[in-house]
Amino acid sequence: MDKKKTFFEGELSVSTLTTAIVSLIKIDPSIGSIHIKGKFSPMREEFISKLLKLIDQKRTKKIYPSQSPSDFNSSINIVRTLAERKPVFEQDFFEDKSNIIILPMAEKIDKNLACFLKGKMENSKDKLFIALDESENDEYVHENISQNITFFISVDEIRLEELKDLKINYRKVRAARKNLEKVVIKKDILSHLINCADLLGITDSKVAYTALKTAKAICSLKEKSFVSRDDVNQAVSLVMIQKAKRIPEIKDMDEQTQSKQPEEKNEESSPDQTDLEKELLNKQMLIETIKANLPKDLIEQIIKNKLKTRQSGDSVGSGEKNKNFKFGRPLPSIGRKYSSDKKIDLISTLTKAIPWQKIRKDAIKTNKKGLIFYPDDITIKQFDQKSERVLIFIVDSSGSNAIGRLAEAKGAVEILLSDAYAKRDNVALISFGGDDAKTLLPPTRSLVAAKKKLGALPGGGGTPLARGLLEANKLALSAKNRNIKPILILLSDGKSNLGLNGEPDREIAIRDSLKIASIIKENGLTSIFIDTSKRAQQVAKDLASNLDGKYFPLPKANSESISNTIKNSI
Amino acid sequence: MSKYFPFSAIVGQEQMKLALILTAIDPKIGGVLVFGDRGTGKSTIIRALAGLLPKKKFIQCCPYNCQDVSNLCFHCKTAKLSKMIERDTPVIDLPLGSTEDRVVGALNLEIALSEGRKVFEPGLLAKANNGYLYVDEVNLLEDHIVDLLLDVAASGENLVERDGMSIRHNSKFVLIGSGNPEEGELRPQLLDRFGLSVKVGSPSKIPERVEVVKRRDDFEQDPDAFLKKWRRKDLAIRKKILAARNNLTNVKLDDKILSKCAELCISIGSDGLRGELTLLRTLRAFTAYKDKIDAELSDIKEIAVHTLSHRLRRDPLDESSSEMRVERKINELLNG
Repeated sequence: MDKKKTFFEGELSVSTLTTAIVSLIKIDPSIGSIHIKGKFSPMREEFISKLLKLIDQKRTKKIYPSQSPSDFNSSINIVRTLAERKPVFEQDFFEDKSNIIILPMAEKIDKNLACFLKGKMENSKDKLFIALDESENDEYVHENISQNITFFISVDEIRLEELKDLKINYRKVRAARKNLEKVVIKKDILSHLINCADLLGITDSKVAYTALKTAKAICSLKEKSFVSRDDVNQAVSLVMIQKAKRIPEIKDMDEQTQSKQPEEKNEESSPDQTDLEKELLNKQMLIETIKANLPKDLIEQIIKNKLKTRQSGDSVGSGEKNKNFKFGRPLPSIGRKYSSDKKIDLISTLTKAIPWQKIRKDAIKTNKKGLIFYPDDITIKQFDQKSERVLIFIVDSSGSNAIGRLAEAKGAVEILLSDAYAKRDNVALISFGGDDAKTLLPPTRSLVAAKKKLGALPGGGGTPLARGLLEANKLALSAKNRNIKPILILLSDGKSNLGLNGEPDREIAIRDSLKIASIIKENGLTSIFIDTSKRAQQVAKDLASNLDGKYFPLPKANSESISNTIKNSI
Repeated sequence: MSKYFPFSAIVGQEQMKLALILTAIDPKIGGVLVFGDRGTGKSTIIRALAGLLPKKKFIQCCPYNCQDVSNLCFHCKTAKLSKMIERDTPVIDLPLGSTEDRVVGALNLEIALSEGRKVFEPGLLAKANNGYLYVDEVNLLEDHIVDLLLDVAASGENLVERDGMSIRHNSKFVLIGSGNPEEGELRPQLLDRFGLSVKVGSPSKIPERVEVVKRRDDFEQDPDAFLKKWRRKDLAIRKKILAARNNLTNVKLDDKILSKCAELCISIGSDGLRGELTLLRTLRAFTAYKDKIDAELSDIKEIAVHTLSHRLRRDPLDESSSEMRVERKINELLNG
């Protein structure tokens, strides 16, 4: 009845991909959840409603990024408790009959909610989580969620006519579900699967296990009972690619293997070498199949996305992107005396008063309707409005003094981080030298992450101060967008000899850096300029006045004095 | 109730397994802190431990897991409970986002509303008494809950003063925390309260990883058959643990060992005496587990990393990891 080819027959498009994914979820619901990447658009909404129809589960619930884990504890239902005069509890959010939980704006979910959801995703296998990811630029879905999601669909470029193809063959799926128990995987095929995971840098055994289940479901769908290499490859392309920690060089691989082949042939006698060769061949085959199994632009898209995620998320531990401070983080409400500037937490006030009603009514011997409140019952809402900060170090790594200066900056970063716990500051480090500026350490709060990143640092070459400032400006603005207050700390002698265009022209270079400095000022960013030159020069003073921040000439800057200066001035 | 994955069927992760076994032999060692990436089997191992440990005798229906007839809780006394039943050692999860009410316990609303009586509804701390309390992502737990846990873990008693009630009940548990240090670090005070710390990683070899996934698959396919297959090995470990518990009091630590331990702690600069005490306790349990009477110097090497590496004062300018620093010191001491 189906004339069109399916995903498993090599027809690759968003609709076949989606059809395949839904079929697999139908066959083995424990496989898991879907990650849908795409900005809000009528097309996306159409796609999602089609998808839900396809999955054929009507009960859906949503979890918004603004919610906090404690929202999902089963709590007392005030209205019904009062009406029925006995405690009525809300049903636990995750224990009702809804089967689909949608996470809109998944990229906005903070660390706490993500960890909470991770636990729920692992333990409620009967629920299908659908994360809607509208991320752009430097945003990404928290790893605790993205690593627990099985499938990835990018719908940014979906076309209307493709939506019509979203149909699944329920008869076939039902048969496959029955057959699933009989599906067996041989050990060498399983090793192949683990090899694939290894190649992609995936160490999480849960991901590998999900891929195995997916491969089994694919096998069952194809009406076979032994999982084949192809099944595994398809499962890998569906489940693992988007979680890859490293992407094997797809283009260079052919050349690499070719250049290595002669060497290996010479030593074919030793068993290790043949193993190595086999492995290499396997890897190559795998890359080929991955390549064959996904539309090319999709791979590229995923790789692009992945790389983005890695830059900002993977190694930073995403410490910097966790809270929405617009309204302050709600804290547990507390009992306090009420005054007009405080907000009463009505629900918890009621919860506190209700249990005592019978006792209180007995005490004053009344039978009147209504509740009796004592002042102690009143609970006040509390918000945590402590805003986060990020200290952005911009360090001159050019010229003779470079290595020393960078080392001191590094030390200062680590000192600040090691006592930043109480202050909850994030620290970032940008260095400029050679012909470019680099973010060496994206904003982080973790000393562990910082140490990892600050291993080896480059030095020498020209002084592209303007580029360094530009990079810092970018980073600061993106922090500001997330309600984290950025503070720029420039460690330099203020001299510059490379302009924005990379031309080694001192005058242009100085003009450019002054220009960027005033842009930073216009953006309302706070800055601290630590002048490391032996004697303060006019360029540095100009720069300081353009930045309009604090200016400290600190010729013998070491990590202690730098961190003290910073601590005292912010 | 789902079935637990057998402890002996877990591939690799020897350090974490050892740490858990040692705390099972002597719960006084204190909690275990497990640091590692996602999907390395942290929670699987902890659940497996519960399946491995021998059943314990508890007073039937006691919500506070009373074990000792001579020292009953108020609930058992008033309800006149004394019948003992055998149950698995409790392993209680403390989910992220738990409220204080759920952890320490609170007023039982139902009884308060319908009968107008004040009755205490026990929380997770009561459930975890004489068992394990597992906190995943312990580094993300809210500060006030962490403080509370620390206090109870140290005193072995949960004291509740709220909603006009005053209640005190035993809450002796082994705290097991897991987390990923890159997501946020633990306060030093909290770190110090854990007896042992281990780092877990994924197996690095392909065949091992194949085995992990294969065993998981076998288990999910037919849990009963899988459990049966591993039962003998599990029982062997259980027997060893039980034997070690009996053997614990016989273990001798001579003066030379004591002074080496002290020397080690001083040279590392761990604050307070907690490091030394834990080191000695762990050494004793380890010796008992190896079915020996006399503790040996070489044993220190194996366990010191776990007992001390989280107690180092953080030196932000030292590049090497705390494990490496402890190892370096141990080697200096034992060889010098």
